[in-house]
Amino acid sequence: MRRVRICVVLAWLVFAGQTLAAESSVHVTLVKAAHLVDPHTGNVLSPAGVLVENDKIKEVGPLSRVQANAPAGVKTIDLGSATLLPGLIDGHTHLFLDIIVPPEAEEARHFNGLFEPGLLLAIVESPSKRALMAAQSARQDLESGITTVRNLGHSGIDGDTELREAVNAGRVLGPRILAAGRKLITQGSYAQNLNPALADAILKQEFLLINGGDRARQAVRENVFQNVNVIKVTADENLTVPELIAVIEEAHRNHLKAAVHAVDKASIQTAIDAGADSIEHGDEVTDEQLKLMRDKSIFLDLTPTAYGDFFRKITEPVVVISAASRATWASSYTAARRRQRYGQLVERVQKSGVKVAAGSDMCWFYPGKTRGEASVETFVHLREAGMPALDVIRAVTSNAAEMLGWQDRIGAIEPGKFADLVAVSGDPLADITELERVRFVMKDGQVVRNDFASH
Amino acid sequence: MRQVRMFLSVAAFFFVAGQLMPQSPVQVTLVKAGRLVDPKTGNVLAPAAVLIEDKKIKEVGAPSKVQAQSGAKIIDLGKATLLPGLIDSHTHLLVDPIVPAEAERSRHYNGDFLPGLLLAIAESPSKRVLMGAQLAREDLESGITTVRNLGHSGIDGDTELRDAINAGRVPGSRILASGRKLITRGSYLQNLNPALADAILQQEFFLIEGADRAREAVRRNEFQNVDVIKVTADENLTVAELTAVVEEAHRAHLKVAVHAVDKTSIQTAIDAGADSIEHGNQITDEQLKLLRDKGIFFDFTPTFYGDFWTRVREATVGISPALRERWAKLDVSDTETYNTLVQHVLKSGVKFAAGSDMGWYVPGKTRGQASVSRFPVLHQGGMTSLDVLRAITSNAAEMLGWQDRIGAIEPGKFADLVAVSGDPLADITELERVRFVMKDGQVVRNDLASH
Repeated sequence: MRRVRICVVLAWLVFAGQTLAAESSVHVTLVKAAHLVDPHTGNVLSPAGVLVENDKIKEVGPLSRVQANAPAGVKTIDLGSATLLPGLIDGHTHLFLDIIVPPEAEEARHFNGLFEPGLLLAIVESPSKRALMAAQSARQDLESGITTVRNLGHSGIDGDTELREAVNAGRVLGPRILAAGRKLITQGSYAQNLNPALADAILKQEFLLINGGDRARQAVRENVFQNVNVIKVTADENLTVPELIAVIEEAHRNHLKAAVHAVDKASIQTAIDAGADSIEHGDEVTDEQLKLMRDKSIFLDLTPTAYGDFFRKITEPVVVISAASRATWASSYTAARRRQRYGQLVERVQKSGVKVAAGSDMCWFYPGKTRGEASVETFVHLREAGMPALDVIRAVTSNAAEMLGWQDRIGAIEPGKFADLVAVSGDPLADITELERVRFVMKDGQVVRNDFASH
Repeated sequence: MRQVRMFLSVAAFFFVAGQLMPQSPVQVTLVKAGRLVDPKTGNVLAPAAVLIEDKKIKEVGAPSKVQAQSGAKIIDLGKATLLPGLIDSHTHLLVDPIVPAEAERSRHYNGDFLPGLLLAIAESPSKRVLMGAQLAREDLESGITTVRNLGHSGIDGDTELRDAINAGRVPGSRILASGRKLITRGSYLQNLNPALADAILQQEFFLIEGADRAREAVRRNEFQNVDVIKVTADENLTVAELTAVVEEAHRAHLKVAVHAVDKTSIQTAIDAGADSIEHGNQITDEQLKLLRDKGIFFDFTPTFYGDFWTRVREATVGISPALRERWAKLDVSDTETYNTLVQHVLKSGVKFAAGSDMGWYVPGKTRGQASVSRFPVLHQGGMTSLDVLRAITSNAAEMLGWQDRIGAIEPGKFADLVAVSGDPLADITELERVRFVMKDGQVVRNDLASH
């Protein structure tokens, strides 16, 4: 261990030396905007100045003061009447999936038919092909203002950890990525129709199977070997509390949080009992469970992906819709019922005082939208489901940062944080759909997009 | 070896004895119809009677001459026209790909076929063979009493389906099974995950890499008891490799059907001594002459003739205006190309047969309807109705090497018959409206009975 440390220190010295030699000058930028929303407090600062030094925020405050403290001749970005927000955080996404809704006849052939053919293709085709697709999705997320994502599985063995490294190294453009590596599942959660002669080999490319506590620990270690940032587990009714405890102990020993997919009541209880750090989806959570989560400080990560008529929107342009399906969609049943149920969930969650973040859970090919546009649209769903605009913003900034354990780095426009900023033209507190029209994006102090510049 | 033989003859003895005891009376059936077409001669017998004893045809002729003893079952088909059961000499019962959405299609090499093929391989063989059973039944119900299944059936899907049909476990066409298709790496599934590629390919194909591997592939198929060897020839395949395949197959008394579309691959198939060229779309007149001289069959597969693609897509996925226009043009140009091909082949005097090459989910049609719909298009392409009939009966039987068993209504042949209401020589689309099907002397379908 000591030898490793020495080697790391040496490498750092060499690296630091190179960095200093190559670009010793500090890069300072002043960003000016009419308004700045602090999601944490709900305060709005008008007009606002943000002083950025290299990749970090140095100072935030009333424009006059910040301007006065800025060095002479500083590079200035004037966003006019726009409103600044912290860069958005998507707490739950899948950059390595981009599933095209299959024709109805194809869907009918598989368990979990809507998802299955696309997932299988993603696994059995080339990981290189897949990584290049993910690079595109990552860039599109960033361009829509998502400066950080937590990628929770479905990325092959090392797709998301490698994409994270490539983004960090500046090889490709993308958000900051917290990578989960392979998802831990019990056999039976996904891809149930597989050819038995191939099943284990195929599953191994995408998942780590939990069969007992020892295998569960081993699974975490295999992910640790790939240098993951978080452990993702899918809890279903098969998963036992001891197995999940083993996962979480092992994850925590490595200072990793455990994000647990749990939709039904039984799985949610397993996640709570085992001490999960966040419950993903949680659609069927009870009031008692919400109270337990609040008391144990377990985050609820809402994923209102399929809210409303989402599936109609991604299906209609792609495949022929049978009269029967059309009738189902048209009836009050599907979309309205989904709205009603999600509305009730949001209301109960708000009332419970549980800590809430949000994720797009985006894994679908959405015709006419980039991956970023598709992802941000799901945040707006929360407002439609009854969450106040400020809480929606919190769910994808300050709260999400806390859920990720990165509250010291992201989620707020504060000195010392990474300079991840977005700006919109209107007032996002009055109209949350402003998030879908992000006009300015900065990540790590670098401008990714500035639609205001042409004015 | 002697030991094996002895064991077999003992087993045969028990088997024969077992059969004789429970059902010793011979089942006799007399089928009468207004007309009977003999594809080989083109002669029409009117009216006609066919006497069937168990699975085989005993006698064919005028009803006045062909008579059954009392107790025979009589099936009177009225004015209908009898034909030999149809033979689809090129089909794929264990794939049924649904055309993918445009966006999906554009993500893969060979995009229309690939997602469906991959799913078929990566998912359960049990699931697959049950689907195959459905498609085999549907083929039979449309009058296809024999198929040659040329690959894409997993390791043993088609051989097992054949045996299950022969054992009466599931209804379906007589199957000549090819087992796994022999290919050079690169013909299919080019985008695979390298960690899985070999395992996946092995479930569906044999990779030919050198003559020794080629021979081994044939032997492994023999181990599954295949009826024919299917090889995909592309520009990678060498004559030496294909010669090894053909030699090994012939040693086992198996014919070799070679998929060859472009000129180079067709030449490879000819030079190596293939028994039939499948598809052959780009064949030259010189090559046709070689085929004729060497007695190599040309197996037409007019699958995509006309607006096949447009119709299949229209019912399944959204179509952008740009692609709709492109496909409409392709529909026209492909059809013109095919019309020319038909003319050249007919003029050459080469022996020909036809197969549906059906490996697609066609909305609104059973597999049988989809398959049979491909035969009348040959007439649209300029082939006489009689030649179309020959291509899927007598000629096909000869191509399969089963001319002693199927393809004609003659004494000694299997009692595989179909009947249509109208005159198939005047309107070949009558094939798409088969009203009566008999296979092995058993009635599969008789829509004429209700009258």
